[in-house]
Amino acid sequence: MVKVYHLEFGGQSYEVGVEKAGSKTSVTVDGKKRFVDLARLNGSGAFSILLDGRSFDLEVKESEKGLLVFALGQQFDLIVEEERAYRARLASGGGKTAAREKEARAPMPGLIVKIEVAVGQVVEPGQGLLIMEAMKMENEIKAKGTGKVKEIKVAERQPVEQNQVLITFE
Amino acid sequence: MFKKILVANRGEIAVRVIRACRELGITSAVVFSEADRKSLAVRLADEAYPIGAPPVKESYLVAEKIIEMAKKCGAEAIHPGYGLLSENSAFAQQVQQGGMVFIGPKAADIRILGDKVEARRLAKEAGIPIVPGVEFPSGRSEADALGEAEKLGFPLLIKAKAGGGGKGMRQIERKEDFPSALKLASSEARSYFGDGSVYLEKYLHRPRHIEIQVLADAHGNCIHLGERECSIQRRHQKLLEESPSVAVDASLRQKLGGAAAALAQKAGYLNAGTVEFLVDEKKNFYFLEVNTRLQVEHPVTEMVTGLDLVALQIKIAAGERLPFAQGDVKWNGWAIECRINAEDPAQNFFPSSGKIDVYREPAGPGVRVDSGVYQGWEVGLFYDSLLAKLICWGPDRAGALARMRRALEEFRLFGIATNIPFHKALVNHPRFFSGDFSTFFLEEEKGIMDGSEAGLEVALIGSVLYKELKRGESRLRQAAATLASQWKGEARRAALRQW
Repeated sequence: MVKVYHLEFGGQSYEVGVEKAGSKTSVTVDGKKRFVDLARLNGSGAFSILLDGRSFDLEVKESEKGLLVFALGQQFDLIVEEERAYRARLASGGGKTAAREKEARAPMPGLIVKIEVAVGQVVEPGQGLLIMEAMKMENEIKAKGTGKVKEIKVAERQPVEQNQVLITFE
Repeated sequence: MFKKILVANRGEIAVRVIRACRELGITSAVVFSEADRKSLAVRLADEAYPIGAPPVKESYLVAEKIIEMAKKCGAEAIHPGYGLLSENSAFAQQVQQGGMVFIGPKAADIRILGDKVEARRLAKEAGIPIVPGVEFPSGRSEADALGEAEKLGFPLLIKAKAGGGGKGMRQIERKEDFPSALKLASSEARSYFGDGSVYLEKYLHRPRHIEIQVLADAHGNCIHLGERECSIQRRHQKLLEESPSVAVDASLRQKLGGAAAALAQKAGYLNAGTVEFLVDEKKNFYFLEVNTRLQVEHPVTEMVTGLDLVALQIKIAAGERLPFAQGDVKWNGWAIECRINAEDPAQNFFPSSGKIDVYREPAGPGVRVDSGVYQGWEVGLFYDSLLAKLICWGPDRAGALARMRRALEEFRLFGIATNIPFHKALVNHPRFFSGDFSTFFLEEEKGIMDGSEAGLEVALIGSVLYKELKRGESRLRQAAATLASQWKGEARRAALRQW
């Protein structure tokens, strides 16, 4: 019997089917079926995976959102749900991004370079809120969920501490 | 030779110096901040002494504490590494006054060559072409500055007079942007370096950044070890370096090397140093600045010359003669270095932090890793994001690149985001491979990482299998628990039956 998982990465949805037959496991992605084998490498989340014979190393960590996966040197923050949980969330009105933004915090000490939103503005997930400079780099702080800007607690050219609240949402 | 050397640095460069010490039979001592108690350098050194809280201003930049520690532990010399106090002439002076040897140039040379205006004056005197530019002391009027800027023409660069590493540097395209940029650059220069003076410089179109390694001993011998190509930069931060350079032929090498050695000689320079040049599309070269210390990218020179630059630094500081002459320097093959940084390509290369859960360095023929981390090490945000340097050697550029591609595939560093995917995209890029690039390369090839989400499919499948595995494990645990309670019940019943 094929079991279906729903995954989300970077605002995109994916479906992966898993099927176990005896000692063999196969997965289906985009209609393509492949045999897989997963072997745990140590007590932590390191695994070796064989995908139709192709060998990869990966690490899986439980994260706030779901799973944090490292593969081929890249990092992926994934939401992983079984069919039932996924349908239940859809039925309860939770859309693709159930998360509602409450506040945006500084990921590290730095300097606010530019504020890109105004009080009262409704933001979408992934929308730029402000630009911050830290360790000589500029980075855009983005909205993680939807929300309406309630208060902007910082000004341009203001230095901020790590974890300081920058913007609050209604 | 010294019996004990104190390393006034951290991370991979502290490890590099410790290694050189051990090979020379010298006891190594390191200083460490509270954040570095469990660092690789502390673990590898013979001795390690605490110097304070994690912020560099309370530890690695406090000259007095470091010198006191060095005296206390009986070190005869201090190696400053790069960054931190390495180009601080006052520190070099204090080390000397404390009766120890600073492994680097004389304090006066650090001061003079570290000053961009003074360095340019010296270069000019040595007959080396310089990029047109003008000093602009803080306090002069904006109108004056604008006048000077128009004489140079736009685009131009504003740099901190006392700066380095891209700090306080700004590129101005249009006249209208100049006044506000000048104000910001000057205030940044004041807060970073304590001097608001800036330097205005003509901006060259598509230049290459090529630097020459020089070595000078206390007996008047001064040689160069050829060039390093460092054009692959993001925001003036070098990311990949190689030696030799596709843009430098034997005749240009001789010219650049000769100019660099002449400048070092003129300055009465001592120990290892690097003279940086910009080379334009017509192979005209211009003096840029001098770095009066060991460079991050020194291993590529070591790989093609077969020399140990840190060991040579120590020998020169101990008063020994350079054991070879210019004519003895032979270059063999090609070397490339990728800087492996804790930076997230998905977040505009913002520094990342966290625990390294899985770490396995590449190995095999022609591969060298200079690293300051290990599996289980916690990467914080107090310091530079450089984790390790991956250096590959090959008989030619194609061979070195093939090894680099292989080694990057082998590198396992999980738990925090790194720029390894960026390097993979870079070394597979046709234009990079062809050698047709300049310091503008990453600006021109913004989409270099597009379509490089090859790991996504593996991640999707892996995470589903992980969920299945977890489910299987919890079912097994439940079954075991049920079984255990059944056994207990049976035992109880058996015990009761006895009666």
